[in-house]
Amino acid sequence: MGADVDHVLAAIARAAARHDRPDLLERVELARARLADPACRVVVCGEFKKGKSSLVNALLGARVCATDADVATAIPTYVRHGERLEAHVLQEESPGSARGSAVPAPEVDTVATGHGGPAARALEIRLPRELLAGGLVLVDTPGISGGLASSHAGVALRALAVADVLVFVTDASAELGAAEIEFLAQAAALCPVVVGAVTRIDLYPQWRRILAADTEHLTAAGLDVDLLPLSAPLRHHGLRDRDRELLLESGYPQLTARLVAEHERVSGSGGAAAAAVGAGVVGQLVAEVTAQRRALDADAASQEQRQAWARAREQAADLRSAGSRWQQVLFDRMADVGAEVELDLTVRIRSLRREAAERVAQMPPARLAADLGPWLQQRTTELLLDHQSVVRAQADQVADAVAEQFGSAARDLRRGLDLGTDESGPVRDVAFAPAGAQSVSRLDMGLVALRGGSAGAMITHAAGLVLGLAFPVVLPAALVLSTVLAGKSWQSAQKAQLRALRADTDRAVAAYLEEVDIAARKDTRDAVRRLQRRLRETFSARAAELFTTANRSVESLSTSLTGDDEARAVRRAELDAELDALRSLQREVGAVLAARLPVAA
Amino acid sequence: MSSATSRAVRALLTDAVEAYRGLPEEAGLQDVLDRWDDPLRVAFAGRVKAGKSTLLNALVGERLAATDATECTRIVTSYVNGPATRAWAYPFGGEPVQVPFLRAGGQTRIELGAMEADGIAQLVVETPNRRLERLTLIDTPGIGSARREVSARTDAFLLDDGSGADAVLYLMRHLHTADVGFLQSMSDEHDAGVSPVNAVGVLSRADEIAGGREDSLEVAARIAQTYSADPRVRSLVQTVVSVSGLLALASTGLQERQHAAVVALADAPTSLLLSADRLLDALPDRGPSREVRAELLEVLGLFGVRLCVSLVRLGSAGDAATLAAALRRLSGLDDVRALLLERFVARAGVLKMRRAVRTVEAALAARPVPTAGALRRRVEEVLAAAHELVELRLLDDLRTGELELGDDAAALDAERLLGVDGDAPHERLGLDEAVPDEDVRAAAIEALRRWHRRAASPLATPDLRRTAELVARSCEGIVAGLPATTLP
Repeated sequence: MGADVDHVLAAIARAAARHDRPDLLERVELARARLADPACRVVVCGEFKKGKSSLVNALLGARVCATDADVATAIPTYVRHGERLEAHVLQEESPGSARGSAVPAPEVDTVATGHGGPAARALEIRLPRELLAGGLVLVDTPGISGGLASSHAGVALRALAVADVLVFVTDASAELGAAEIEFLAQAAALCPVVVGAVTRIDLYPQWRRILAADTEHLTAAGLDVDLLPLSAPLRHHGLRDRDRELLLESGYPQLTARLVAEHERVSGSGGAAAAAVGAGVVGQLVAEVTAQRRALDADAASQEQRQAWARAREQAADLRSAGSRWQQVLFDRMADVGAEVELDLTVRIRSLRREAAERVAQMPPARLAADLGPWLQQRTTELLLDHQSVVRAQADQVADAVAEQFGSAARDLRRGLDLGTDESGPVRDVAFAPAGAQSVSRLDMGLVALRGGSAGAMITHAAGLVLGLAFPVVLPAALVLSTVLAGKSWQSAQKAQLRALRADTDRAVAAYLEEVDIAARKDTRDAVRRLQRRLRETFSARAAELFTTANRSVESLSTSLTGDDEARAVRRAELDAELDALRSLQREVGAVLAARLPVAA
Repeated sequence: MSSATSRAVRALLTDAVEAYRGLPEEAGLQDVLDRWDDPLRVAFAGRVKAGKSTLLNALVGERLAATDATECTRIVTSYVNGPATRAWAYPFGGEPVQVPFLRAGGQTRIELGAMEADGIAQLVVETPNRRLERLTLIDTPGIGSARREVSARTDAFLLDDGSGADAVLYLMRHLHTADVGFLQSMSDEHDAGVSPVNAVGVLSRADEIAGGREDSLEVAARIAQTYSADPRVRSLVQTVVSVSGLLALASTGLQERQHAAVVALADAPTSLLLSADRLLDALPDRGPSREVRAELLEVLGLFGVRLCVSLVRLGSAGDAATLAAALRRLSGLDDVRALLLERFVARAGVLKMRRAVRTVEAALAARPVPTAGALRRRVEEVLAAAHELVELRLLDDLRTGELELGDDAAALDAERLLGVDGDAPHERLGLDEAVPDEDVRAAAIEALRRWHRRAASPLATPDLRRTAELVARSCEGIVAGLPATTLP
């Protein structure tokens, strides 16, 4: 998986080094490094007590996650490959964050169920398993009860923001409920692939009918989710007795196969992206060597080519300069986006603030104490999700616009150049510059590459997982409000006391929303800034490469005319051989890429 | 329950109906009045698929409510005692229509004919059943359904409809935010108010709680205990018990041939019991036939079949009757029955009065009519004369945190003396039933002194003082109600 890509990329890297192009070499090496670490995050979500941790355990055939009947997972648990079994506390929720103290085996459950102290924000468990060896990471999340109103929904959504695959867990005891459907709809917008796991089919003779009812609910909600029936006890029995039939009945081999396939898809799309980089690099090398070879012929055609390359060099120099059109488009559009997304956030928070103030002023006191926390939590979660989708849509549009602008300039630049290639098939589009096209909101780079989506979206995704837009970490609303609401005798309070209590509550809500505002605004600004830097760097590097290629072509076309005939004959033979080698590389990478791209519709 | 108080509340209600004649509040008040002599109405609420219909069937001892693997109850259905088994559909804004009630293959079905389910407000099933004499049981579709109209029906019935319930059995599979939110909105919005006084939590489907593990029932009982101690839960329901509705229902009609099938299974290889699919299809030539296996699974569930097989293997279930008895004991059905009797039936009168007073109060708060001042004074008079109602209100306040004693032991003591565990003197005093009268008297007097001291303490907060005075009055009531003995 990816070995053929790496092989051809290595050859291209050698060619780039041979031709003294450190810029191109760096790009290929970067692509190779990304290819070598094909992480695929599988996040396991679901309402609590549906068997999420049991599913992770059964999948791995080991008891790594706490499964108790009445205590539940409270912090995310990352399970990844390691030489031996070990557990560590993580100081931040994200998987790559600093590792804290090691957790001895008997205490893993205590930490996972949230009793490991405030410093333990996540748990990382490593163990030697073939399934994990390829970079697959399983993430067990706290159960979300009551959908988006749950204070754990934030943890789950944060985990989802960086997920490649979501495994949504429900059980065969009952049909999917309203809260589950609501959560799935939100999750499907964040995560490209959703697999539904229906657990405990061993217990319920009617599981096939439940499965059918679930499918019906999903279809009605417009969700594209495959459902896999599973049974953890059958899996464990099957593993213990080495009973193949039981294992098949447990459904886990099917789930494993699905995850492996998804993992391959993720790394496969990574392979396509890497191959595209290789094709681009080799295209530039071919163009440069072709120019050198042309120079040796010293005929009218080469004279023409020299002029053409000189024009191309001017255009490339222009592309490279700060005043170029694409830079302007980038600058203008980013300024607009920055203002627009901030306004979006301001408007959303202000309207929620108003809504909350009305609620605080008008709701019956007893209801207020009970319902305000969950309500605020749910509305805040929805607000942030909506806001983030606006940011993503805007980012995609800017990236598309810039790519379009750069692409059309690059196409002008290529016109009239002999690039030494017949330019056909998918190779052409990626060979020199990305072709901007229709916008695609799905940010998964692999998917975009595979589905032939826009180049802009490929870049916004590569800019950091989903723009680095995670879910802001703020205290649960209920916790913030409890300081005001708890222990107050609302019903027995006098009118004046009630007014004071309402005012206190209103202030607490305002403070909470301010905290949400600050956290979300910082996230959004960072995302916009990262996007701008990423776009500038990406296209500047591409412009610099183009300039180098054009510059060296012009130079070789003007200088190779000197020297004696014999030396020129030797050189000609050398260049022909080199050109053959490069063309064969180009065909090779083209084939590798074509194999990974879907057949054009 | 003194009949004088009951008469006073009824008179108050009659006058309130008169005062609100022609106004929107009239219907609700009239309804409470109309049902004054009916049995207590207990609703089964909870999320969809919590096992409401199954538990209802187990409690009445026959399969009255239809049950199914997918969401099944779509319309609020009341089960009342009557001379024959009949069913009526109540269309919105129309006269009730009798509809066929059919039994087939252990299931029941109500034939709605040309009527649309959407047009029917509720169904009433009448059947001769001793267990429905003192209680009317009401099955609801449940909340949290992906079919929004199903959830909306339950909300409408329990939250808005005047023909609500006097008490609620709240079934939950695990405590879930949707559960808590629902109970809270009920206790806030509904006129009659669902509160710790008239709501009991039931951890249903106990057999499935630990994924069908062998110790599922014990684990469920432990979880129920934890919930009962959780202040969040205590502010919503009186207590939480665990029950396996399926096993309970199975125990009410277990037949000899089912027992024979279990015995046959006990001799077959254990691998048959690994999963429901295996139990149905594996080793077709060993043990009972597929039809019998399917029937067992439907009646008992996989956990139940495993449990029965273990009981047979242990030799503690020689025939169907012993097996049924063991199942009933393990299922927790007796606990739920006892709970219904102690907490609801024994206090039916006071629960109804409470609902009546609250309905009048709600009407007064919503729309002050010319006679409102007089009615309000009547409410005060009724409350002053009926310590039972004051006790309920005090219990409510203690549980929901309206009154804060700052002393958990004292709060528990107060709740027990106010009758949270039962109305009888020994229950209120936390004594064994067999304790002789003089010891009960001594304990009552000791409790009275204890609460007098608390009321008189200079350190007592206003909340504690108010509670202590009322609890002391309850203690006086206990002492006064004991058989007279000669003091030494």
